[in-house]
Amino acid sequence: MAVGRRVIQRAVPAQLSTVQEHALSPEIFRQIIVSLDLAPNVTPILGVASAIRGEGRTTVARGLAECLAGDMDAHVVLADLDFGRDDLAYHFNIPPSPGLGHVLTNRARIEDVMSSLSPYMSVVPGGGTEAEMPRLLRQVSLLNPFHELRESSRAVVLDLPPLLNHGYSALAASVVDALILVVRATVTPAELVREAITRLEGMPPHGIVFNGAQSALPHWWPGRPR
Amino acid sequence: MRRYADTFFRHRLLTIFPFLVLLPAAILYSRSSVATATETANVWAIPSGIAQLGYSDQYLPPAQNLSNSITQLLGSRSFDRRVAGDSPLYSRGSRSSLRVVADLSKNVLVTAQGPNIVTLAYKNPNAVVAAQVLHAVLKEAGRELNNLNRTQNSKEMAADKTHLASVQAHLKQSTQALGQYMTAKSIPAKDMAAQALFDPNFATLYQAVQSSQIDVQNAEEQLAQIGSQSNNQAIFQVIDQPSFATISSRKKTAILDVMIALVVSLLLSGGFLAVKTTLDRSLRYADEVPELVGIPVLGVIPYSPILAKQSKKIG
Repeated sequence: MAVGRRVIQRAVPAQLSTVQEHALSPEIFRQIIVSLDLAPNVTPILGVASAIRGEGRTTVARGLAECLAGDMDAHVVLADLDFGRDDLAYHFNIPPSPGLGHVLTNRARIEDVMSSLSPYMSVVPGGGTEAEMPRLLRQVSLLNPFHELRESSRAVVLDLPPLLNHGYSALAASVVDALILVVRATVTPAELVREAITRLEGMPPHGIVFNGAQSALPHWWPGRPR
Repeated sequence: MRRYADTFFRHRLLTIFPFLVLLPAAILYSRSSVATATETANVWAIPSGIAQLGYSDQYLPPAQNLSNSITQLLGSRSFDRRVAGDSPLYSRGSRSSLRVVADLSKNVLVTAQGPNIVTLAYKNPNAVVAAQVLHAVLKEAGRELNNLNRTQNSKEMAADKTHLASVQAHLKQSTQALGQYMTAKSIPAKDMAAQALFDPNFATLYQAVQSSQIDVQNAEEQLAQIGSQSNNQAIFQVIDQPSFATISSRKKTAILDVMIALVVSLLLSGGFLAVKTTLDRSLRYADEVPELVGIPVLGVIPYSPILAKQSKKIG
């Protein structure tokens, strides 16, 4: 059943608060974007994934989307592919359903489930349950609903599910132009990161965002990372 | 190396915890232990004196015999009581006889150093008491061993006297027999030697008298010899009086306790560091990511406690 279009307006300063709220410098995300070396005239579909949960994948995706929306003065779509968790819906205080799940099951169009937070940023909640995750992830790779957003948006950022938690996560990653892997410092073992990369097979990540870097070494220690 | 240092600074309290616990514990323990002073004395075992002791082993050196004798005396209640009586400071502690015996027999160490020297050592919290006790032990041991020596000599003298009386009686008997024979045969005294040549009976009696005279002479000599030896024959001679031969053992023990605590703390801390670092396979620094994973780093987000908490909540 098609769902009517929903437009939810939010005050811009309150929504675009990932950076300010957590005292993260926007320069960090700008640096990530520049490092990706994206093609200038093509709407990129960026995927943010991680090996396991709790590595800061959703925070990085939010930060990237907000930074792109703020800097490019063009429409950016942030989509939640971690079905059943509704992290983005929780953060942006939008209804978790209907969402991408409805789009992938042909119950809605993607424009109808988008929550527009500002003229420059829209969020697509997950809208599915965790039990439906494998089926929905397969549908992502088959249908690729984000392709049509290239005309209406300047960038699309996908908050992908953890690669090691679900077998089809790598399939969902196949629709992105650039994949970013988020790794949390002192938490994720190197073996798990390598295994996650292995699962991506012919689509290695463009790079890693090292999250939560903190050195316990004192400032006078030689070779201490800055 | 950097990882070990990083582990140390991340878990510095846990790493230095053994030092914080064991070192003060070692210091407190060594302070609570009783200080002791060790007094020593050296004596020279006189071989002839030792040989006089009836129970000495002729196959052992004099020092070993003397050491055995003194050790045996220290196990005697009467001896230990006399030692305590000679040490006013020691007996001021109003110890019971049993405790005195237990203390002296256990803590007075008697060891032979070589063939002739015996060392006596005694530990006591008070160095003056320790010295007094050792003096008393030496005095009483000397007196007791001399008494034993005299007793032994007395017994030997009594035996020799008995023997002398016996041979004197035999001499008298044989002299009487010879006299009777000479009277019966009207043999003048000046012809005794000649008579012995052709009268076998006379010769027999004459030789018996001579033999008895020799026996009497020998017995008298032996008795005289025993008598001369029993006059204050010393068993041992003190060559080093009790002195402050060793430093207080408390200081040595304290240093040792602290060293042991230090070594154990180092082992525990080092072991913890080694195990923790080895078991931690996570990525700690951005510069090691390309090397370990083979993917470049696009950006580094510094640690934020709020974000970390949020990530845990989101899970």
